[in-house]
Amino acid sequence: MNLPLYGEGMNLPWGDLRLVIDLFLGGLGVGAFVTAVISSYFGEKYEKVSKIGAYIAPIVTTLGLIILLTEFTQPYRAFYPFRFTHITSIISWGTYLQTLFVISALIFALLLASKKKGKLQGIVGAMGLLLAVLVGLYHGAFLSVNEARPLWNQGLIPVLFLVSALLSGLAFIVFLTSFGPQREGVLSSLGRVLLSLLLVETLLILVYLFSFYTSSAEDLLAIRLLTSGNLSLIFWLGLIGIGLILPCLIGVSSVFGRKILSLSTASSLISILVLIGVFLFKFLIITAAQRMPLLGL
Amino acid sequence: MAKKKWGMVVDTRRCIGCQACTVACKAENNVDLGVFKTHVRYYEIGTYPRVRRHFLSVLCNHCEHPPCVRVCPTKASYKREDGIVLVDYKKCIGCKACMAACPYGARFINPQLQVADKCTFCVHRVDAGIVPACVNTCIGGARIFGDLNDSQSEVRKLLSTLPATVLKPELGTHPQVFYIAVPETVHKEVLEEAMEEEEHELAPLR
Repeated sequence: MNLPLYGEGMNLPWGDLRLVIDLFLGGLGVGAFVTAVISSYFGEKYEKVSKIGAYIAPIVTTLGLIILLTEFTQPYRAFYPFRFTHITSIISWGTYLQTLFVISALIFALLLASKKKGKLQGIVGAMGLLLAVLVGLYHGAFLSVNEARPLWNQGLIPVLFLVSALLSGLAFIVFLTSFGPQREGVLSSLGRVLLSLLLVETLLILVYLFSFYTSSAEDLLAIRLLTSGNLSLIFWLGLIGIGLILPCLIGVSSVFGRKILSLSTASSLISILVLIGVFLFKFLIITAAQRMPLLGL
Repeated sequence: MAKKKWGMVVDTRRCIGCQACTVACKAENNVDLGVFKTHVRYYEIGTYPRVRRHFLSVLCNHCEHPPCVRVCPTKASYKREDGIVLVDYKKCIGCKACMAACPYGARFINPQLQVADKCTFCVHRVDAGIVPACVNTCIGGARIFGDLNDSQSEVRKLLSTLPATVLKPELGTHPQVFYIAVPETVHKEVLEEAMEEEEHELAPLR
């Protein structure tokens, strides 16, 4: 790359995989927590699912945040958004949201482990649920406020990040429950929710892509970064093929068509494909938007 | 006396693309290798045999509504009353949100200080009553610096007599760096050229 001469390379703020991994793990935590709380409402049958989700959520989210800290050039100043809170900065809000979310996920996991079922668990769960949704939206919102980057500056981006977060968390739990003994009907109902979410995500990604074709010339150039640039192979084969169409086909055919694969094989296969798809989606959106050349330095 | 509001006019008719401003800025501000606070970009417009090479001086636009200041989570990026957008190095956590937000690619991580950095309009010189280094050194007089609120200043006079544009006006950032004789299609031209480079450069991945 000829970066020193034209300086294009110097403006790749998040040019490597660290932010992608952070957002993937953060989204996984959000999705796992939401799955845990919601399945805890469905009684004792889903207790195992609820526990898996509740234990995973704080671990992966914290792991993601640690990776995010390495992205900061001054990581020991990471608490500064609390000290100098800036009301117009989404990242400033996000610092509060993520901290509160990790704390409530941790408390929820401890309450589940101590088997103290009661009011407190319900309150923490409900509060955490709200925070989880906000964190899921935040993962896209802090990107979408950048009017300089057409691929991010879309209203659908926060929604897409929330849905893919829920999808990845649920897929991870489905993957873990598809092995070993399981209660009757648990896996098939989780699988159906996963498939419905996957169909919603596919639809949202389609709408997101098509919205560029009704937009400005700059947006048309931007979407070319995905559809015909050097990322196009990952986009078409990876995201659209392996991440969306293949799991949709497997899911729809095993729900409505002939059952070629057993339930546990189908659900573990779909969940792996979904996890790959969500990772590639975040990778593509984050990377491609930064490859959009800016007018200037 | 009315409040000052610093601004710059780049008269591209007078720019010969010599990069003297780039060098002066590097020397004045001790800018590291590989990063720039200002730079002259070359681009071609037209198709053979009717082609022209243009020069476009780029620097921080010191926007009236700076996106970099809006997204900064710690208020490390701020705008002074006189319009100069600066970074408080002691508050910057290096999250790079401002780099993602700047539509002009004006920001970078200072390799020595490891914080966000950019053109300061040579604030140390301006506060001492002299013009920025790039303005001082420009051999064609293409960069003109002054108080936009002063009706007698050279920048104001130029802006009131000649049609001037700003970069990416559609984003509503209201830059305080104005350009004279920049074709309206500059954005599209530069973008398309850069996109071709981008696609060409990264082709082996396919």
